[in-house]
Amino acid sequence: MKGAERIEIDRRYCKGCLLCQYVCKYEVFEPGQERSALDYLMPRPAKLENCRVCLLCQTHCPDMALVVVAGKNLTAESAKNAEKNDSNSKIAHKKIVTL
Amino acid sequence: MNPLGEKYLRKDFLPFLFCPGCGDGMIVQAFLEAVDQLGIIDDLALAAGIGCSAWIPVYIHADVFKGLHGRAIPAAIGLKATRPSRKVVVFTGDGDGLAIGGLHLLHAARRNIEMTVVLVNNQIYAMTGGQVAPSTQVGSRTQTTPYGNLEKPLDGCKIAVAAGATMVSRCSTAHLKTLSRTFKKALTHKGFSFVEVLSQCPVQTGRYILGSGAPQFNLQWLRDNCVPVDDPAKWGEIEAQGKIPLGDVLKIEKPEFMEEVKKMNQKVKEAWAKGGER
Repeated sequence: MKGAERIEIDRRYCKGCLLCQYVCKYEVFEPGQERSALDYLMPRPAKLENCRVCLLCQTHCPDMALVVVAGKNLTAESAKNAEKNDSNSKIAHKKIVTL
Repeated sequence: MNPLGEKYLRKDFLPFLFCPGCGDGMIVQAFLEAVDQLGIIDDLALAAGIGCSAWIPVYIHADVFKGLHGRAIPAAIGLKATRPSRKVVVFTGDGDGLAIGGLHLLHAARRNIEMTVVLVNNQIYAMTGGQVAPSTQVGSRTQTTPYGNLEKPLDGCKIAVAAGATMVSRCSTAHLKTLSRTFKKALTHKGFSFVEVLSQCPVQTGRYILGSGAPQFNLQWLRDNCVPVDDPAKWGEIEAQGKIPLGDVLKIEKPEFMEEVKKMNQKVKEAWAKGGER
């Protein structure tokens, strides 16, 4: 099964809120060292092979900076995943980062 | 950039002026998803007042009116009266729609004029620095209530129901699929539709009321404290537990204001043609 081909984070708009890391169930993202154009530390899709293209990170990005580009043979399945992973369903979320 | 943003946002206005992790950007995306599915971007006319949430329509590539504090709804009523074919959507915040523009909300709901009012509730006056708002919970510490708030919060949904709105619903930014579906329902509803969206504000509500400025913490707070229900009869039960109920409150059909105006026009014209009798 193939996952996402790539995850693009727009350097111009990202504000480094890390909500993508928080909503991702498969721990794809991690805090990166690269700075965006607005001088925030951007997340990095470190474990891209874990991605199932549920698009939760894309829909939760408050700056509309993140795009998940799906692999070619996964469109029907990704749609099913996205429906299943609606935030209404009870997902076991990871630890909360407290500042 | 997000394909929806590529299609519908004003690129020269970007990036959003919202703080990192603000819920308003998510509302933009959910709204654009609904608009994209309905294909009504050319018919949209958006109005907004003052506040963080009033910046939501400014980024959307449609006709936008940005007016005085709390006065977006009267402007939208005027717009709807002159151009009944437009889909009018008003974005207000809790300070804009419940405090200074509260009466405008009541009277728009009473008329049942076809428009959608999206009230973004973050429980605080966020843009002006975190003062107490009409929707702030009892006991919350804000800049103007350093020892805790004593006033009971206003419930926007109950006010809209009492004033006679024909579609009332409450959503949150922690439930984005449902939010987008609700926007779709509200935009296709014939009559006054009111959607209250609970949104996270990490910088003001998070830091002063909830105790953490992390966006993750604020989204988790919404997830933990909001209970989606199908039946509005269960709302009291959930409120008694100290949680916030989400879902559709009511959706009914009533005569729409602009159609009534049209009928009245017709009637008066016929009466005058007969010889001036009313």
